[in-house]
Formats: sequence, C-alpha cells, structure tokens
Amino acid sequence: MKHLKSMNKKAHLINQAINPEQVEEVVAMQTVVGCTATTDPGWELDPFGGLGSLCQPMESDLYGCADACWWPAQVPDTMSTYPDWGNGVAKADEDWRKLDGIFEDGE
Amino acid sequence: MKLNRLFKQHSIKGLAAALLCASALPVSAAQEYLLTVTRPGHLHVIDMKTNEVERSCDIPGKFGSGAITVSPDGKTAFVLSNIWEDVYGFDIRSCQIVFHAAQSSASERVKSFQSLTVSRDGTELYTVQNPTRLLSDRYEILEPRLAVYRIADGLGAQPVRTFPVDRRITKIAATDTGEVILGGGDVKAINTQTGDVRMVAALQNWDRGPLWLPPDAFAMHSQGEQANEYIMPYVTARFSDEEWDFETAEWWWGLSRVDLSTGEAELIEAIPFEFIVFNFITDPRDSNILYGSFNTLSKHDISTQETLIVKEMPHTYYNLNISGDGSTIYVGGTSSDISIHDSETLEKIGAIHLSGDMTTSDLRVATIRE
Repeated sequence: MKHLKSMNKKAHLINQAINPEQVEEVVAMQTVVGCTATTDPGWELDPFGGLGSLCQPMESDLYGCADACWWPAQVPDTMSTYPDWGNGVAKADEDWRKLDGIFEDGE
Repeated sequence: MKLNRLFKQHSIKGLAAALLCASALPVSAAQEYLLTVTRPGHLHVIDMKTNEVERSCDIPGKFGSGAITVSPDGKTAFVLSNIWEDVYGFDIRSCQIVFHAAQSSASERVKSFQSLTVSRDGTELYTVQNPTRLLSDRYEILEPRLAVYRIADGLGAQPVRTFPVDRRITKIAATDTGEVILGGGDVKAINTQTGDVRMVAALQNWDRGPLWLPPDAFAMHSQGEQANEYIMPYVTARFSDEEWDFETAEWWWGLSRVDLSTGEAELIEAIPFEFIVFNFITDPRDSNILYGSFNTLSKHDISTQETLIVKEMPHTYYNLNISGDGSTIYVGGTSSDISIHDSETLEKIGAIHLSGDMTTSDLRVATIRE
C-alpha cells in the first residue's frame, strides 16, 4: 500500500484499518455477518465511515449480491457460474441456512 | 448489493451543464397493476385497487435479474430472464407468452444489465447487449450494442438493427422523440433509427471546476412511468477550497432527471446527502416532491432542498413506485414483501406478501385504460 495514496474518505479509512496494531481487531470482525464476509469491515464501510447504511439484514441483500454478480468473491455468482445456487430457496430470510458454500471439488 | 463509489479527483475547468426544466404529467387513473418478479421465476400481477396478487405468471429459464418494462398500452410486460440473457413478453391479462428473444447463441454469450425498454408506439423493444465471444481457448469481450427487436416478431425474435453504445449501461428508457436514454457513466440518448448518440447529462465527464467532486452515479432499477421521466441519482460534494477536505465539504444528492416527452434533462443538486437512497421516484402531482427507498423510506421537497419525512424500514428495500393518483407508495425489491405507505405521512398502511424474494427485480406499474 505504500505506493498507493488514498484519494477519498473511504480509501483513507481503509488505510487506517490496515494499520498493524489494528489487524487483530479487523481479523476478529471477519466473521460471517453478510455477503461481504471476507471484506467486512475494511472495504465494506458505508459512505459515512460506518456500517449503518449497508443493506440490512444480510438475508435481504443476499440474492441482490449474487444475482447481479455484485460480490462474486463473497457469494456465488449466479449470473454465470453458479446459476443453481439458490435452487429450492425462494426466500433467503426464511431458508438462508440451506444455502451452501461452493466447493470446487464438489464435496 | 452495495454502492460502488467512484471518487475521482479530476482537475475540472469551466462551468456546469445547462439546467433544463422537465415537467411531470400526472397519469390519469385507470386500472393499475403493480408488477414485480420473484425467485425462482414468477411475474406477479398485483391489482392496485385491492393490493392483491391477481395472477402469477411462470417465467421460463433460470432467474435473471427481474428487470421489467411495460408496453405503452399496459398489457404486455417484458421480463429479463434466464441469467440476464433472455427477454420474455407476457400478456399480463392471461400470462400468455407473446414474445421471446434469446440473446445468446452457441458462439456468443449476451447479458443485458437491466437495460430493457419499449418504444413509445409499442412496436419495438430495445436492449443493451453485452456480448462475449466463446472461443475454444478463450473468451473475447465484444463491444456493447443497442439491439432493436420488432415486437410483432413474437417468439424467436432476432434483432432488426444494432448500434454500438458505451459500456456500463444499466437502465434505459424510450422517449417520445424516438430516442432511448442510456444510463451509464454519463446519461446519453441514442437515435434508434440512425444510432447517433448525444450527451443528455454529463456525469463522469462533467465540467464544474475543481471545487466539485465528480459525481458517483448509479441507476439499476427502472421506474418513473408515473411521472413520465427517467432519474439517474448521483452523489457529489462541493469543497470550500482546494484543500478538498471531505469533512467540511457540502455533500449532495443530485438528480439527472430526463423528461421522456422531450428527451431533455435537468441536472440539479437537490437534497443534502445524509443517508443512502437506492432509488428515487417523483410524485406525479408535484415534480418537486420525491420519495426514496433503501433502509429508510423518505420524502423530499427539492424546491426547498428539504427532507420532509424519514421512516426507518424493517429491512433494506431497493426499489419503490407510486400509484397514478400519487396517494400510495409501494416499496419493494430485496425480500418477499412489498410495503405499502400513505404518501402524505409515509405511514405504513399495508403489505403484499409474495412467494419468493424480489432480489434485484423492478417494481413497475402497468396502466390499462380500457
């Protein structure tokens, strides 16, 4: 990151988040709380530097992240690669537990 | 879904784009139907007098965005299906499929990112196609294009004309002037006969001088039929000096609002940027009154730059629409419930529970005047 200069508020907050003394705090917050699990709360800050203006709860946003290929590293890309991921789960808020992870070896 | 914010700091010279007034004409009340799509693949036709689901049409193919556009007579709804590739046209009075265009072929995969619209005379359907050539050893990304279909061709329709367009185009809308508004990095319009493209509202290329932040524009859902307009909201900031301090800048919601009868736009900073709004709609009775949805339902008066009412919502709703008489707001997208609100107070007055999640689907109004 030393070759990159933060140009806006969000980028500046990301730089703060990767400050070495804050690493443990960030790791602790990388639990699955939404469709951006692996990037919370670094990149996934709202424009005000908080979390309150992110989609809530994650179940409401789950297919919106997958169907639009919005976060393909965090949820399966149902637009091209995994179109059947949501089969049998018409309502994510009721049945999100049935939505499995993707395992390339098929197991 | 999250906002992809593009804060570019250009050195910009000159003054703003022209401000042109758009008028919003109320739509006379007739039989109105609220349309939306849910997983795994149903088009719901909701009677807006009773707020009951009148019928649900099975959509062939896998779920594919739920983008909807409606014919001018209100009788046919065109839906983007099959992982954002196929367009099906439904007679909403019977669920009969009257149109189908498979945009992809064996050698080319074509996706449309919400971009569907019908000509104002109801004879042509327009999509923006994003094609990829599927070669044996690689994919080749091809240039996006506007595809023109003749609706009378029915099932198995093929494009009758294509024209090159920019990348990043999402929602589009046809005008009375024979153009299609293209919402992308900028808002442009394409002549559907010649392919000539003109700038309607410069956003990524706006030129307001160094104290204005280039706008972060976003539009994914189509609505605006009740005010005969197309809205591309954006966020910008005005800095007090060339220190460009984000903490002291004035932050604004802006609107690039196109009058679909003339194809002309107004570009205004209308509302202080205090919370996220995913979509705005205009009250068909008063073009100064806007409503917005996301984690809140809000009401705004852009003539005074005031936010009048803010209601917290129980979950995120991407989308909203309004009855033709302006009295009732419908808030939807994301989950499986449409929340119904009085437009004067924004108090919740009802709900419509659907069989699946709306996810990215549009929430459109079809008006049949027979």
